[in-house]
Amino acid sequence: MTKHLHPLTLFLWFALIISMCVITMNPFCLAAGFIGAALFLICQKGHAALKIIGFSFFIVVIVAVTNPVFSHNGATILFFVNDTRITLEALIYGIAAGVKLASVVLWFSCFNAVFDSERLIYIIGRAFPKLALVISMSLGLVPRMLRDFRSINSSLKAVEKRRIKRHLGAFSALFTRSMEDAIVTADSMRARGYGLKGRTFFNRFCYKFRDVVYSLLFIVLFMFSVVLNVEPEFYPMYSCELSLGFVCFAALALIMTVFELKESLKWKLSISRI
Amino acid sequence: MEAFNIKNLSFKYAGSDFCALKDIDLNIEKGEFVALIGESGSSKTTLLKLLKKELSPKGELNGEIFFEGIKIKELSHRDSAQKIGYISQNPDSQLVTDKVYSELAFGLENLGFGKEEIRSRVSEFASFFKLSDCFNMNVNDLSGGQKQLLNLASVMTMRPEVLLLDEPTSMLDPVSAIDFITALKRLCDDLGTTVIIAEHRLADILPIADRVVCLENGEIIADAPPRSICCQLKDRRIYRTLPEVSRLFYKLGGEGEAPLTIREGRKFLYKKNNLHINYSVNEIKTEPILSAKELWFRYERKTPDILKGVSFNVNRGEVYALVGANGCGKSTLIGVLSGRLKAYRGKVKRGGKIAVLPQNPRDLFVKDTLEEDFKSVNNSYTELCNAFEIISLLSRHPYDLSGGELQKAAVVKLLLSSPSILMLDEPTKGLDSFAKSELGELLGNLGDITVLLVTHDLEFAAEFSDRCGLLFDGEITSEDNSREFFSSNNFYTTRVVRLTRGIIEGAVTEKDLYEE
Amino acid sequence: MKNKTLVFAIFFLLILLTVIGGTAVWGSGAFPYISLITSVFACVPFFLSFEGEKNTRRVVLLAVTVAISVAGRFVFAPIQFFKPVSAIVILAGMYFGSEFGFLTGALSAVVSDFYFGQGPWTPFQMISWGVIGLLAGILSRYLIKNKIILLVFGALSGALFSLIMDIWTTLSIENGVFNIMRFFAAVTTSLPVMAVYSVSNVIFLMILSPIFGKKIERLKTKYGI
Repeated sequence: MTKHLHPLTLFLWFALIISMCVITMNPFCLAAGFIGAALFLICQKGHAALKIIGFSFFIVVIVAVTNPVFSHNGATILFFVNDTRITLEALIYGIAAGVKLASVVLWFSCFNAVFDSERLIYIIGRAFPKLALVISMSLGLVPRMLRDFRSINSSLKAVEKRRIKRHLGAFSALFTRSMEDAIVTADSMRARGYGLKGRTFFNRFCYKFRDVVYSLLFIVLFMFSVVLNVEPEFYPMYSCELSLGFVCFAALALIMTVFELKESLKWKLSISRI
Repeated sequence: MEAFNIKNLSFKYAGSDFCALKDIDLNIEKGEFVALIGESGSSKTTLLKLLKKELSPKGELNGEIFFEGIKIKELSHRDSAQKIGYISQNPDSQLVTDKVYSELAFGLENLGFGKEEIRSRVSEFASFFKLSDCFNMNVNDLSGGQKQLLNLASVMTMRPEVLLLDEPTSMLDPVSAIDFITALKRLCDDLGTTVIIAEHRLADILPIADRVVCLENGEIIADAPPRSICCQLKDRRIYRTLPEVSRLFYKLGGEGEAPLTIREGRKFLYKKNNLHINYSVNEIKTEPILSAKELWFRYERKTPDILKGVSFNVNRGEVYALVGANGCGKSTLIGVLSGRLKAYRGKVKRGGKIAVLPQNPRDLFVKDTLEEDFKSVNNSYTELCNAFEIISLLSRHPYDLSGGELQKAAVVKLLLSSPSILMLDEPTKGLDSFAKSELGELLGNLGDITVLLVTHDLEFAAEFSDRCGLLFDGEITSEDNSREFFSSNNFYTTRVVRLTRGIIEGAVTEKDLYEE
Repeated sequence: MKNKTLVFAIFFLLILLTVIGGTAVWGSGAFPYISLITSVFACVPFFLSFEGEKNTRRVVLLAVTVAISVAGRFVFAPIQFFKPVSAIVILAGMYFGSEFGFLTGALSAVVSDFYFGQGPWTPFQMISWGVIGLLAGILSRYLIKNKIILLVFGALSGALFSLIMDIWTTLSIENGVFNIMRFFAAVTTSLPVMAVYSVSNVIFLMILSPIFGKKIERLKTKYGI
């Protein structure tokens, strides 16, 4: 489902969610963002997601623990460490800030999982076509260079025994070769008409009616979650209430995961019928 | 109608007094398939580049080149890009983007085509060139042959009138090279595109060409249909690079139009009843210097075995050729024998220092001149350079050398580290026949140094090696001295054996056959 | 040229507005995230001016330098924090001009994060490597002439890179309230990394600059870039 949507629609979704995660300090919204990201990541990557989620928990712990050490605001004193007050409010604030950072990191991982080079180059290419071409070329060159590096390095084994020196020699040979080959590439581009006026940008994506509907839905959900959101008080006393904004944001954060699950369920049912 | 009309063309490179092209007069009709032949250094590339405006080298040009009646210089960039396609040697560096589909679309994007048009043309040509399965792949996951086909396809999507190809198969292994030429032929048969191709695989290209133009030192010395070209070139240096079938035809007293294929050649030989064989056999060496016992190798724990119990010996002072199809593990075996890769079972006994010539000899050079590179290994390089006739190249940048020169320089660099075993991985790749025979003779005269080469090039192995082994499916399935080896194989053997099988036994190379 | 100045000026204003407006609306809590958007904005004028590049060879050359710096990151990956990226960005700025240097830096970050993972850190890497390339371009006259200055510049830029990344880490952990204590804590913990960055820059520049200088000269004469 996710991958059938147009990259622009998906990009909008990610941008709105990450913005909301950044704007708010509401613990409920942050939790929704965090859980939404974790579920979506599991949907996309399966087992591999667990490692990243583990890392994000680590972020939460680090921020949550360090905040009360440096910040001493808050009315509820938990205990003293070397004459420094450790307050409950600072701890809660730390947890919220940690979850916020962690959810931003997680949403970026989700973005990585969905936006392969083709999609990202498409997004960049809409604004900067030449730059997108350079990125596409570099992405093609890197594996080629690594392969060349390995072959140069192993060829040099016969004549150069010192490892570091050989590595550096091979690296500089790689540089020369790449520069020479660049000229051939440039010629091949010119020969195929690069530099003509009116270059188009080919892509295999199709903006459908569905994309319009989803984009509108995302925007509406985002607007409601911003407008209806209530920011909490941390200091001197923590207080927060549940709001409709939270519901809207939770819907926004979970919507794609729900669709994915629905689809895989359908798929499993259709298999079981066979 | 004429595609190209070249009138009285001469060309000098900027900063050089030497005429790269002299008095070229050439008309190329639309739909013709023209093979451009000549030794390396005969300015084939220069001529082709002058036909493509964007690639024209800087220099002094006299005479005129017309494309469809318009002077090349006055052709717009758009017309030149769309109507004249150009493919060069290196399959890698011509690729621009990272994905197969975007590479195919690249030219059409430049010409400003819409999405739908691009989509339909790209899919059409992808299926024509059998690239549909790799449509979504990264270009780097393709084989060299597929990459060159992709280059061809991405030029063809623009529907050019003329296709210029500069030794497109020289970096490919023989199997992919033949695939490429076959695809090219099918393309011309189906679309009628005009083709001008510089090639040194004459045995493959001549049978499908309409016309052959031969250059020597920048001048056209012959221009004729392929069956008559051999006759015209009899006294020229280039004669020895022409297909064996044709040369044998004249050697055995044939007259008129020369045969080009094995079938035609055999028809001619059937009529002969006075054929004789004459050859000398090198002394057999028996002291093993490198021996492999039951070598097993795989790249990763879960990947299949590449080597499955390879056992063989190489003797001191001999030239041993290891042949085999694509992907049978030849290069892997070299890696294991040289110690770069570790076999997980089996033993290698090395009786001396090993030096390996990589498939791409450029890999060996890291400095700015040959001399610096040689100095970094050993200071007494003059003698070897003299023997290999590369003393005049010492001040040149390694990347400015021709394929043959670079190959010789690479061998010199390896010999400077005084190895007792020299291993060569596909040493004939990208070399024309002159460079090949030069290299072959040098390898035969290394004295005490043992040579192990892996190659696809059966003619080369037959002519210059003492013993041959066939690597098949990770094992050495047959091994013998080269003459026996090739005369006993049926298909995997030299063209001369295929030509003479059943007519006269024992001929392996063209030199062996005589008429009395 | 006038056009270019205008574009740069507009974006400078935009950046200021984002920072002031963002802080005003969301408070200092959103500061690390605002700075993230700011870094992206800061790259835009360079990207726009590159869209006008007419020389195909320079386009390809940019792709190659970017790829080289990323490939270098892989090649020397076994040695931690020992990466040639900054050194190559500096050389690119020195020999091909400040804009080219900035683009090499910014794109190296984008492309290498294709392999190492895009994250909130990507824009910061873009801007820090970009600025290093930009400065190298501006100072190219001195850097090419004097090797000592080049090496000092390399060491400083290594420190700068690690410093900018640290500031962001601190800010984001602190959720925008810049705490000097914590900043020093972050800097001290990352001192060894900073040192490795600087040292590796110096080593790479020492080895690569003469080689690259010669090779670029050769390309200039052979192909007229």
